[in-house]
Amino acid sequence: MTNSTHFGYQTVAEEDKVHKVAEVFHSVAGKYDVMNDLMSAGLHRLWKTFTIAQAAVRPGFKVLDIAGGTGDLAKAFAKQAGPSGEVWLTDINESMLRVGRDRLLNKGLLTPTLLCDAEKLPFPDNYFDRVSVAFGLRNMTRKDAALAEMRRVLKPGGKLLVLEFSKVWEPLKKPYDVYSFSVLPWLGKRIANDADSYRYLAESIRMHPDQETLKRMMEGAGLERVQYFNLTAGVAVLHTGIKL
Amino acid sequence: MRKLLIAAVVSLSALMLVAPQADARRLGGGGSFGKQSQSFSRPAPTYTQPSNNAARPAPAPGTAGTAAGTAPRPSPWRGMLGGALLGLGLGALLSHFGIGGAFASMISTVLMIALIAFAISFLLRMIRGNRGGPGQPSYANDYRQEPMARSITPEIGSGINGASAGAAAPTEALPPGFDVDAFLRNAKTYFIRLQAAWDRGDVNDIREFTTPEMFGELRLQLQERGATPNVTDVVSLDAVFYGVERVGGDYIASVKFSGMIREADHAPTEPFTEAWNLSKPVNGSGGWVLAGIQQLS
Repeated sequence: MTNSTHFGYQTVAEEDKVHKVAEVFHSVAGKYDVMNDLMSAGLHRLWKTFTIAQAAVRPGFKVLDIAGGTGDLAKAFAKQAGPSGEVWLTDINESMLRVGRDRLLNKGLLTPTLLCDAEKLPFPDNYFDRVSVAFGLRNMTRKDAALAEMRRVLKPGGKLLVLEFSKVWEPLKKPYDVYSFSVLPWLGKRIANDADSYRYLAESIRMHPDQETLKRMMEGAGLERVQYFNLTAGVAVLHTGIKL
Repeated sequence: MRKLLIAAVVSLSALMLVAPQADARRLGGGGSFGKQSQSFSRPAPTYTQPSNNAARPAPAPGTAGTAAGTAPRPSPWRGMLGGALLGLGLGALLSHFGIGGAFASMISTVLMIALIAFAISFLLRMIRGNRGGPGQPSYANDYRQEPMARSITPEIGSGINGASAGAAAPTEALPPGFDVDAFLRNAKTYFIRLQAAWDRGDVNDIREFTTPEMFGELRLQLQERGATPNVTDVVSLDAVFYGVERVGGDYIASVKFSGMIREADHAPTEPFTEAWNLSKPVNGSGGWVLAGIQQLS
């Protein structure tokens, strides 16, 4: 009766995945940024900068940042959209959202912050100019439903940006595997005292659809002109699609 | 032709001299007005959260607790030595002015009695304070030992924890349900929002978040500014809670803001420190509004 899905390499019931992912992020929220810098050697900043540049947010834009976590993208978007724009920071995880909200406030940015599920977005159709999800799609249980929701809230002509870990370039696969299955959990244990969460991170990256599969999924959700950019040899990939 | 050129240059430079200096400033123009608070003359107190909030996951653990533990304890000898020196000084002063003999000895007797009474009451307070046990947050003791503390010094935390030893001094508790973290977050929100309203000259928004007196002052400043555009860009913002006083029928909560701010378009960011006093009627008939801005020297 219950549908099953993957949680890293484990197979769990669909309704359990939400709770398990939530546990992971409750556990890492406080050290999330330190760990990101450490694990990606600061590269996640470059990936996000590239995403922000691709988003090309202009003053007055309405932007939705899904799984915005600690607010890196929302912070940049809020500055670009200016006082006439509207940037929503959303996440399904309360701990992460709390960190993000406080961080934006400390930067003098007042943005609406909302706890919501990307599979059921509480926004009207055709509302946003940009929808972004950075390192969040991987953790969603029903990715097709989430992508369809993202398309629904986009205005015609609006752009969806999905930044996510993906399949690394073949020759680099071996060292990358060693890094993510040995070094990452070890780092997680030493710094955040939580090896399991970082093991989940590595496993969930492997289970995430590769570049072409995600492209097809986005096209399946009704997005047009889907393209992707491999960043750092495919460690991270930015997919963009437009609703026409 | 040459005359014309000179005339043009002269008139142009005159124009430049006359051109109004666009003096864009943040809300209140960086001045002190409205309700002022004495809270800032003391170091920022630290607060422990009421126990019913213990389950909250996010706030960085340990910040409140460790800070309270390391707060400097005033030396118990300071008050006594100060009193003795004061007595000696007064005696010297009186004899200097030629008041000697019986009168001076009477005064010194009075001073002596006062000193003894003070020492006794101090000892009593210390004993009573220690009876609070190890569970008593150290700052509560600090306040009680401070002999010069004003009677309105808030003994924050004692009311909420319900474990207070109930000292004789009139205590001031945080209003019921007061959450310092949430209050600071909202204070920051007010700060940013009011700067934005100030830039836009949005009188309605300013009225909603200020006391009538404060609103009157701010509206005057807005009128002086006229139609000059104003840009206040808060680049970073930090807030420290300085306590709640009860003045008349109002609570006055003091918050010290600091951070980086840009007060004109393309201007360099500059550090700022500014205290805001927010007030709220004790009877609960309204929310927190800005009652005064205070520059800290």
